[in-house]
Amino acid sequence: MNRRALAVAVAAILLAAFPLVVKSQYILQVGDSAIIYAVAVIGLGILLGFTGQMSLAQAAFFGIGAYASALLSISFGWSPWVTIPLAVAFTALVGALVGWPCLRLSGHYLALATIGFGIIVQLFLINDKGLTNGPDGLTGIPPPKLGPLTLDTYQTYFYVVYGALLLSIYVAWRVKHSRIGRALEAIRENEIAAQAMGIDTTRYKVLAFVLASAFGGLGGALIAHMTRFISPDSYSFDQSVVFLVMLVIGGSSTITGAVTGAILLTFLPEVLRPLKDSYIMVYGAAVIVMVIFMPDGLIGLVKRFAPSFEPSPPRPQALRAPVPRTADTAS
Amino acid sequence: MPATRKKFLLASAAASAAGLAFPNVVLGKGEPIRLGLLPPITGAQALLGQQEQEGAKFAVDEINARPGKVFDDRPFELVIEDATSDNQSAVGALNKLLGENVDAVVCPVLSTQIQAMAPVMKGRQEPWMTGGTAVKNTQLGLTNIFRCRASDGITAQAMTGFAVEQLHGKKIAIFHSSEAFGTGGADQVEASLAKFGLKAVAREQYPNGTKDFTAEILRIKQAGADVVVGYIQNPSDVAVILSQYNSLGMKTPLVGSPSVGNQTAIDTAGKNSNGMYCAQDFILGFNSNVATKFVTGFYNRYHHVPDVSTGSGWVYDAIRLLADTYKKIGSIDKTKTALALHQTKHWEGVLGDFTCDAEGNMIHAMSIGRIENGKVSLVKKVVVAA
Repeated sequence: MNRRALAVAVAAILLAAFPLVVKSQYILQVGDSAIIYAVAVIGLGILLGFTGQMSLAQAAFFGIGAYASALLSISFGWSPWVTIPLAVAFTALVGALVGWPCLRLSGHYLALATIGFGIIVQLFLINDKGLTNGPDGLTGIPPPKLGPLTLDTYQTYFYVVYGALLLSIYVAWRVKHSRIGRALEAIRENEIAAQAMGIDTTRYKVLAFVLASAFGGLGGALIAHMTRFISPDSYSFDQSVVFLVMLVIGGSSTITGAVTGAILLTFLPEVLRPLKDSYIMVYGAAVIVMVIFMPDGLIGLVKRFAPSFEPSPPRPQALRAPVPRTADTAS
Repeated sequence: MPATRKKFLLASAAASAAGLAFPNVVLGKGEPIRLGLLPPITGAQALLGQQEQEGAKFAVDEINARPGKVFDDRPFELVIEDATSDNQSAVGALNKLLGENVDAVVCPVLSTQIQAMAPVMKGRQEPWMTGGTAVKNTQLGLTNIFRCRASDGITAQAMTGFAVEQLHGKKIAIFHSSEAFGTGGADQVEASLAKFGLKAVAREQYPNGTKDFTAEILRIKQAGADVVVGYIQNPSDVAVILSQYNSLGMKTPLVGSPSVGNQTAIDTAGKNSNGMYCAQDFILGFNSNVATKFVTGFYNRYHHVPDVSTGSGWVYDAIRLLADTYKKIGSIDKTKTALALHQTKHWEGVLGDFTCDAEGNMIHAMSIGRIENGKVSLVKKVVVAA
């Protein structure tokens, strides 16, 4: 095990002790929420950071996951251990259905299409009262159980969300460092060149959209079984913007950036609480400062001062071979 | 010196014995009673939050200035956390407040926030005072929640009854905002209409913040409605709706929810609000001495008229009711306080007569007012049996 892997393992074990050390229900709730948001933001990172495709519908997928898992557990009495994976699968399916036509667009047009989808989802949640109970939302969502233990406290639920976060990080990391990840990066850098290299760009973009939706769905399902109440107003366009800001502030092209941004922007308003009504001004100013001085996010800043923090994977030998300087290449 | 030491030891022993025998007297007297308040300080509902804080501070200062304060010289100490306008933040604010050992909580006025907070509230003994009007708020399985305003059920009943009985409406249309408040209220109106054997001829909804209501208003006109019942959440939408209502030539009387009678909405709408009816928890000049004293005192302190129904009035009532209950039972024991609050009968508040029913609803009356020249005057008071 190299030093980096050892450091990550130690950090993961130390973080697992968070609910044993912290006794405040308030801090535990904010911590659990931050982790859940991190799962959704990692998904957005696959789409925006890895692939370069803009989506402003992550809150909609978050909502679809939340409602799918909540409805299955309330209506059929199924355990959240069953409904959460089903909700993730359903959200991924919706992602595929939406992604296929939408990803023929790019840039601003894609962003507009995803905004439209987000609004449609919210209107559906508000208006289909027979299914979603309309604006009143759903109550009585059961928490998961582990044998005789009901995971209905922020302490015990922490391990559910923490497990989901570790799984999400692992999946995203495997995607990033696989053939798929390299194809996504090629699309991000130059879609036409990627196509010329034989990459089926539409297929990979849809795949990234499906993965982003699935991560969003997982986050939504997790929050539904934690808060045990959901309503359509939580899955608005504003929430999608918050996810985007979390990713951009953290650093969109890295998993560490997505997690850092989510945790930072969940805790920041809480840290600023003592400022009362002026906190929103300070919060906004802090975000502007971060965007101006850290265009590559917090992780970009760390990399600038500690270049070995997250080195890029070694480039293939062929690309590193010195190119003979000829009359054509000289300029 | 030995005599001094002996005296000291005797005095210490006496003090310890007294402490053991009368712990409340020694530990409680003069100690502040911590009262949690969860207003939306930031976000879309920040104006409501400001009004709630004004009402709370006014009540607390008034109580702390009276002899004996709440009781036993114990003052109220306000602990305020921002509930913002979203559900997750409200739950976070509640958890923070509970970590600060508050003795009672004045909850947010937004009903979805109450419902989001319910899993945290369950199993705890703090008395929860709320101004959220969704019927469901007091049906969440919480035995210690108390609503200090009329529920949407009562409001809808009053509005519909007035539309049918006083305005002789036969073809009633419903116009409402599409979030929880508007939709829940519209459902209650439909249920009340059914009791009269009527069905709405049109039901039109809009998202908060809409700027063009032409399509909705014209559909209501085409349906041939003779009365429109409006369940509108944001006072800021009222002025736009009323302006377009008049400019599209609608002569049909409109009976609106409390936001239509909100003073800011009336001032913004100007002459467009003339002749409109509105349901009101409170109508200035038509209430008790307590209400008159509150409005006068509030104006002298803040130099503006209070928004009694949704903002400052119910919070002022909630805190005064808690203070009177603590004084009556001589304790701040949470279980005893909740039991005593359940026994509230004919307690006089700014918003009227407080009598607690089995669910924790305190107010059982609603007034219908008519707006003319920037003022609301009382037309009818509807009282529903507790």
